[in-house]
Amino acid sequence: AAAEPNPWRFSLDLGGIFADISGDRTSKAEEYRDLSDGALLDNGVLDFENAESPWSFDMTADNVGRRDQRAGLRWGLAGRFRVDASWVQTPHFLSEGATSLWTRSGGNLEIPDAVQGQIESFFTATPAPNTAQARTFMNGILAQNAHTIDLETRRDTGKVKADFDITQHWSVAVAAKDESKSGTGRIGSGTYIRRQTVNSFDRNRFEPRSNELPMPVDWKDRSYGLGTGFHHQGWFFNAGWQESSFTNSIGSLTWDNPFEGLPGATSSRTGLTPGSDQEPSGATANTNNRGRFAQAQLDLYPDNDYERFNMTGGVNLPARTRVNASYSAATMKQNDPFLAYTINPAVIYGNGADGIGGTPDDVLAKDVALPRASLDGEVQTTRLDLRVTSRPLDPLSLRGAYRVYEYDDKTPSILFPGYASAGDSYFRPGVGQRNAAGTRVLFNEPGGYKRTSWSVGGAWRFGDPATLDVEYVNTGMDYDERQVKSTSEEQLSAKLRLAFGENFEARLTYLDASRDADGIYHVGFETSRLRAFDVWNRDRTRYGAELTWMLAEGTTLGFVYQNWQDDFPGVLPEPTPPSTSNPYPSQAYGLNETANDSLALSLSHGAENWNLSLSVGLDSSKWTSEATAKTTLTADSPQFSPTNAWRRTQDDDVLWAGLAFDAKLGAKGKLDIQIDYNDYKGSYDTVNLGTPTINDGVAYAVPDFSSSLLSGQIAYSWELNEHFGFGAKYLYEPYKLDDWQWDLVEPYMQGILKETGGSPGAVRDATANRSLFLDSTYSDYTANVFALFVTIHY
Amino acid sequence: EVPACAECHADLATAFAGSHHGKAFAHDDAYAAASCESCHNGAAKHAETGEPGDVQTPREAGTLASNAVCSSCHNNNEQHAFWSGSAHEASGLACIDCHSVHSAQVERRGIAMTGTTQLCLSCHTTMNVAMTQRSRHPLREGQMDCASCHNPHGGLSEKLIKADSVNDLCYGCHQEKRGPFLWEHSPVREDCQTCHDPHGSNNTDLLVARASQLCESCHLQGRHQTVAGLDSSAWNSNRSCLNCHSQIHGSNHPSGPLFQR
Repeated sequence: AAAEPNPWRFSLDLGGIFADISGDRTSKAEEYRDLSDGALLDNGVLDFENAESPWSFDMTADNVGRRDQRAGLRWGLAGRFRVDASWVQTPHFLSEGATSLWTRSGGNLEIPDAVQGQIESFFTATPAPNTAQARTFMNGILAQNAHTIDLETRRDTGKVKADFDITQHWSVAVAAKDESKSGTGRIGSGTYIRRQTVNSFDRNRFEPRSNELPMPVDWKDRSYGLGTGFHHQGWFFNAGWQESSFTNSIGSLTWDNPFEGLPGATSSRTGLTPGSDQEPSGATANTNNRGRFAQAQLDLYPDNDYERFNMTGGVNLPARTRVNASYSAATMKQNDPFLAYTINPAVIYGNGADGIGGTPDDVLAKDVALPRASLDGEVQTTRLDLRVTSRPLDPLSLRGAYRVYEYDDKTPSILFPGYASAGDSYFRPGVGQRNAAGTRVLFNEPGGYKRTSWSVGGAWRFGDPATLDVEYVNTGMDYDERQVKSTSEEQLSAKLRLAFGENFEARLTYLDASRDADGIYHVGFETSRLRAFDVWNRDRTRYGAELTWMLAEGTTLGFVYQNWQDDFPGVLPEPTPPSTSNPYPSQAYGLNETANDSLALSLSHGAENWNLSLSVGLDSSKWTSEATAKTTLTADSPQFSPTNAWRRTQDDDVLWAGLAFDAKLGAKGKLDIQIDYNDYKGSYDTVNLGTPTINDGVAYAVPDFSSSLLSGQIAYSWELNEHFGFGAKYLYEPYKLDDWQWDLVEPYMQGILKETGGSPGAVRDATANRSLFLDSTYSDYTANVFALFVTIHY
Repeated sequence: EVPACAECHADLATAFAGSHHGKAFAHDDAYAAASCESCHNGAAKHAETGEPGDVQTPREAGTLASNAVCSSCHNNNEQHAFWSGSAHEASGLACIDCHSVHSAQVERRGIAMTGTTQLCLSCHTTMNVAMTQRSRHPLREGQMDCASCHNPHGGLSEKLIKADSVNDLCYGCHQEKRGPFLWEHSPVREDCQTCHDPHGSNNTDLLVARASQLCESCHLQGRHQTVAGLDSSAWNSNRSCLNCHSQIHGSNHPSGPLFQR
């Protein structure tokens, strides 16, 4: 008798990777993958194939032992249960070789006191060092004390889901997910340094303004789910419950200020004027010494919990009508303990009647009790969906839908006496909020919203050649705490599908929508009465065409064109009656227009022994907004001058291409080629809308950005016999980046920048600035990666 | 009936027997009555006569009819329940345009894109550009695919996403941004896509426009003029406004109303 075939099948690519990645900062080459030299264990498969058995089993493994390894498992008994499990590691390589003066210990970034003292002494010397001296000194400090770190995180995601068929019509599912993210990211942390008067601050004095810190990442999320479903021929009902808990084991980040060994406690308490935000009140008042900090602290993502219940059902009705309904309710909670206003002992809280201001003997902000120990934040979301579809006649299909999604923020609003501006410099009573008496106050503004939409649509098939589909959608948004009370949008769209014979098909689409904002009522933090484009009036059009032409058997030519256009018309009117606290004229600043054109051509051919797919496209987008500058910092006078306004358009153009080719070479060989290309250019068109009256209202031109990627991979495999084969892959990938925002970055120095003067002619180079960057960037690279492997089949 | 068909269509029958459909037909009581005839009209007659014209493949029956065959089993679970009226259904797509009924056809392609993503891109051609943008999700590496976020069979949310809302979808992986926070940034809370393009961008961090161009699309500049290169400019080095306002997704620090802590 013939031997039973082995139901188990095993295959694996076993070999090595040999990589040469050249460039200065090459992390981008391995952003989400591991191309390092070493062993290759890839495309592992173990599965059970026996048609006579009700059991099924399939296990896969890719990139085993590498940072981007992943594995999957499917196991089941037909009609009884199925288990799906996966484990995926995803690296995120942000930057290679960032320069850090700090050594991290848990949530603390530490610099030896001696180094801090050395730097502080240098920069507080009299006379102050000039720029060249400062740069030489800091480079020496960095050479002696800094170390390089790689900013890289890794996400590990393990999932398992099991479905059990309890009966023919009843199933139960359980699921679990364990996800962790660990490593080092980066985070900014602004501090505030107020110049005494325009152009009079000591620009050679180092103090951190924009700070970039290595951020420890040690996150975990565990989630569980349970569901059950009843399935019959004409109806079904599902119900489920999910829970997710996020924990961050490092809830705050405390960092040493390289430029300040000891806080300026004494100097910070001089020259403050009670009741005037503790800002300098005159030329002789305290300036940059105020509140200077030796250590600062910022909050990292707080722990949170999520829970959701959902149920969904559907039923078939006569006339090929189907009704589906779904409801879900979820809760998000967060109650991490608050940190103190500041840990800087140089910041005064004040003992005035309004809780602000202070004298040298006042309470320190770091010791002030918070109004609450934690937020006790809670959001409830509910969603209801109803959908009816029907095909009363063969050529006619109809549909209607109703949807409500509500985000109900039940978080308490807390009145704070103020906050430590930028955390560590000085204490001020608020941002933009004022009470009825016009006094500054500060409170959080939990803001929910409700989105309601309904739609009707239908399609008519004019025989085989044509189908016309038309839909109307009405969407309304209601806000608790936005700049507008509500928005309503009407959208009409149509799709026409035309077939000409069996070989040519065209799809034409058109969409027109108009959104109107209503009830401009709310200022909130933003004293400039921002014209938030996401809730503002919007006219939207979309149209496109897709053509598919089968040139010959197996050969298809495709063409796609899409145009998107969003306009944001109208001006934000002046308050009526004019408000002394919001004295801004009507204006149309903010986003004015976005537009996008996409064009793509594709060609595919499938033959008996080879396949080719080629795509080429152009993508062009525009983003135009208007902006303006303040002319004065005086609170109750017009601050924005129309003469200091400008319009700037970001114009992005991308040329891209992709090619995939595979061919059988003889009976045992196979060739695969994959090429991708992306060439991006971002340019800016800047137009001054008036004649600037002060220098810092001039809209200078913004340099261009560009990047390009060519990724070409060729793979060849050859089957030696039933059990063994050989394979080789080669990846060639040059990447180029021109980003002036990054090119200006120097570790702990901002580099060459223009500095504002008192007049246009006074603009000058400033050779050093007060930013504290890790230089968490990446740059050009060229990757040459070879992989040689043996393929094993059993 | 499968063995009868297998006498002539041995290759198909062998592949089918090992497939999910084959296993279900053979071993799941729920499909005890299923056979080749379930999908192929006239299979029994064709088996008797041998005439090719007596049997019809689902594709020959047309999109509506072939989808009806699939839906007869697959419409009563949450994965497929919303096919009717979905974007793909309205576009005239047939189940068999993407699925191979008899056996899996997707080939694993090493470090290139996964099969599912390639399949989607074969129609959504213009999305190819997203695969090579400066910032993107790890689809090219196969760590996720289009189906990680979208249910191609339809859903009740916009754009076929697999969640109650866009933000709820994003929070599935980015749980740390779920909050709620003491200081909320309203556009963040309402729609991640206000600032991010999840399919990729040539700006950093999937941003739809570069900072500060993006930020100044709402925020008029007061003390931070958006003039390139100025000392106090929001256009200065690195991440622009986000150098300082780094907690832009929300802050839980009492001193974080400006998202600096």
